[in-house]
Amino acid sequence: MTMLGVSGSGKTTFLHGMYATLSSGINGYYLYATDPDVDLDLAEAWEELSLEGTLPKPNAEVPTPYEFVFKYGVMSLVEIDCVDFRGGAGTGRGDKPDAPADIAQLRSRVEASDSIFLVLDGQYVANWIRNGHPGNLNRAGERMGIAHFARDINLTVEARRLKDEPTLSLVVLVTKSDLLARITGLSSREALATVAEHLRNLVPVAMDEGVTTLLCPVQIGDFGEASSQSVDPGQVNPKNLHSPIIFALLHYLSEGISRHEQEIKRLDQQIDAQDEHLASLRSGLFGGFFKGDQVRGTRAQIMADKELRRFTQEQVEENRRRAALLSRELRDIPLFRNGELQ
Amino acid sequence: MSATDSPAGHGTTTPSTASKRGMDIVMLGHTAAGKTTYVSLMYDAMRTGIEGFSLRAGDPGDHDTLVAAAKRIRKGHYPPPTSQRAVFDFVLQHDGRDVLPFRWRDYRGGALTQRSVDSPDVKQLHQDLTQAQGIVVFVDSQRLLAGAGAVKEMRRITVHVQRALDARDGLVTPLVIAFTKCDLVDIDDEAVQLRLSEPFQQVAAGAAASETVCFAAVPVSCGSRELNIAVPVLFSLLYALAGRALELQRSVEGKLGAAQDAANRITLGNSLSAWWNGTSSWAEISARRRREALAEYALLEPLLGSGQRLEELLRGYGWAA
Repeated sequence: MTMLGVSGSGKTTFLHGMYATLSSGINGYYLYATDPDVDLDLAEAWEELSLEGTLPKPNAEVPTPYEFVFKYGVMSLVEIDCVDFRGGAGTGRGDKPDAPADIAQLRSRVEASDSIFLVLDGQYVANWIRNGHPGNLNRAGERMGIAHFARDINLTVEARRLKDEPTLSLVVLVTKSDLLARITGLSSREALATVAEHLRNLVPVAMDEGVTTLLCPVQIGDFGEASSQSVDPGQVNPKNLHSPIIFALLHYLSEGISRHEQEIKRLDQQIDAQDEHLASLRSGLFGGFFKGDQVRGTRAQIMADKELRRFTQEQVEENRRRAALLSRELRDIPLFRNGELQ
Repeated sequence: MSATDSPAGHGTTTPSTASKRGMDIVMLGHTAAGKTTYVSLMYDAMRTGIEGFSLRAGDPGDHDTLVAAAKRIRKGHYPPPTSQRAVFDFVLQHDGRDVLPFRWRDYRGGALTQRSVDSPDVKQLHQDLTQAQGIVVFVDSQRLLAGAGAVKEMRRITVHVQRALDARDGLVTPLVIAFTKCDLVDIDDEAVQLRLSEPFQQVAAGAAASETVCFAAVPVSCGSRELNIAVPVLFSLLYALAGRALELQRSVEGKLGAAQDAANRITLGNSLSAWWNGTSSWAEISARRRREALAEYALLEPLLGSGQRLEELLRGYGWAA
């Protein structure tokens, strides 16, 4: 999982809020950092925000890695490997000899990611709505860095397609979502619907073939256009912070279901072919003679394949149950698959 | 063909050294949650026994310390916060007979909110938790009801608990939340109960849906009106007994299977060649495995009896399914 976003877009703040929400448990879902010391770091950072109003400082050039375990009840669902990069790592030039190392690190990470969170500052998204939600955003003047990140995302989509890997899940994460209504004058629901309707103008790559996208507004609180250093802790009011990770897991499971179903089809064909082979070995008056080893070998192979098919089918059913549970958490949040609203 | 003493096929599972040493129970709780008070009073109550079940301390020094501390507590002198990790080796006895050894690990509350680089006992706590076979969480009811700070502390505890449960990898694990100082709150008030249980609802719901986590939330009082002192330890030990019995049962089945495997390979030729070469024949191996299985079954049988009695005892108090 990789987060992309310009400096100040709210990546680290989202991460802290998301962890605070999920490590306390929400609707049965639960997240914890595998390193107990990291749990303390994240909890203390959240405390500074929720008690003192202090926002996290911009990240240094050395990215911060996190390892999480995501659970439902006491059952582990997936291990999540996440790295928090500074905003400049995604928009800086990495082709110069003295380029910071994190630029290349971020690019290679994006390529290896199953899920990318593209973090957009709600203030700029709101301004885009107010300006008539134009397409072809000017790369030079656009303050969300979408064109920069889109290039990396496109490369990842293409690389996954060529390697026949599961499709990419993309979360268009609109932070500070309280500003959507405040700046546009629309209701939050209307503002979100407008972004969803014109998402192709804002983030074209989100609608590409081979991409599944969640458009997810999140907020830490009703802070308004606060300073970049502090907010009013009395206004802390987290919303939707757990949804992006739920979506990432849902997509991961859905892709797994699809792959497993293909595997079941392949096994069915293989078992049919082996049945035919077994029949041919036994055919004729003396068919069974002197072919005992072949018959036994084919029978054993059929048994093994049937066992594998049964196991795979169980996996599919289990993952379907989990996916159904996860889907319930994402009601009312726009989801696109291959450019189509689901 | 002669046979070696390692027939393939059924594994000859032997109970691990750890389980022979006993179960590891880790106490978790923030400073002044009542962990040290609890262990003293619990030992003092259990050494005299409840319906045939009693505890003895492996180390006579621990016995003296805990009994003396319990006396002081009953006179109103509560122990100061634990300044270092303490480990007690106890043995559960039933009708005067040793049934199950276990290790009770106590930590200073501050270890929960420090980093492993700050102190070696913090690192030790993290390590012990991943090896814990039972967890008893101590929560100061009065403090939890008083403020948001305690809710934050509970979050930290549940993170530790979740990590520890993952390390159990599907093995049966008792998890007890002991709400201490219940004599200082209105524990019969449903609103109070709801507020106390709220930070643990996610864990409790998860445990309820799990086949391996055995969960109990127990109000405890170590004050003038002692309440449920023995329940957290007995609940943990009930599932420890069940786990140990299951382990022994698997071992017995493994050995019987190995005996049968060896028996299936008995031939006159094998017996003669083993006799000639001075090695074990399959017949001898089979007989040996059967004897081992019987020896382990002899260990299993009293565990089953004690486990059933303990289950009945806890059920009588409303603390077992």
